[in-house]
Amino acid sequence: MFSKKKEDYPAYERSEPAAPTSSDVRRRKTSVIGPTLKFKGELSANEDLIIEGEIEGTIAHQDKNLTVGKEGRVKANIDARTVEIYGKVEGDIHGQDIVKLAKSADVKGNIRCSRIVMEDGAQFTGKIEMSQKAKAAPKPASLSVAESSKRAESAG
Amino acid sequence: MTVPDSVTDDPLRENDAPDSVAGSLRPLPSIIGATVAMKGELIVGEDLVIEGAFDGTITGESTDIVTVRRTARLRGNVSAGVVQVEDGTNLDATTLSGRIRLAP
Repeated sequence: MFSKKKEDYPAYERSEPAAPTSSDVRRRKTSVIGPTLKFKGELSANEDLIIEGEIEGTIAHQDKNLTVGKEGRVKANIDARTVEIYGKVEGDIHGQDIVKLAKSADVKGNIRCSRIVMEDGAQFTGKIEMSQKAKAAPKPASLSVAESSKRAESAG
Repeated sequence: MTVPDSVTDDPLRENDAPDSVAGSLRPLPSIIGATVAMKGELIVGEDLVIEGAFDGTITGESTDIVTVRRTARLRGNVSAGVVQVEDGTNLDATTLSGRIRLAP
């Protein structure tokens, strides 16, 4: 599980959501927890965050975007504006705006959000609660819910 | 700051190479940004840049470079192959281990 070496991850061909260049990361003010990092404890941030490594504990992420990359392993409750999951998450997810589960995602926990996108192939165990208190939802919540239901039907 | 020519295994030498030089590219470092606060234990297997707050223990491998920017607020222990600290960084209550370098 912890045997990954940095040689396995040539310069940011690490996973789909990873930032392509360091200058892009700088421009977007994005923090990156790389694939060989293992952190246990409390993490809070007020900037975009890409997690490619392992995090166990709590993540308080306020009003920004959180991405768990394909190699990311998170055992924590997540609270962020938008949450994109490509890797594994054990914990509850609160996306103030939208939660996206990619086909490579494996999530065990409850999801609370105003909008959700779940790709065909995503693994998910838990409950989904659609909230109407979306902070940045551009459409009425009822439309979003209807769209999401439609997606779930077509996917399942 | 100069590096003696006799030092052949210094990770900084490789890191100083331009990104465009094929074959000498180090993976991009992990970045703990200025608005990030972490409290706990961090094990690193790659280069790391700290701009935010960290309270706890950072353990890196002998080939890793941990760069501490002057915006960082550190408490605890940092050990790595090279720990590079920007001039003016507040290191009260911080223990650094490894090759310590002061960066301008």
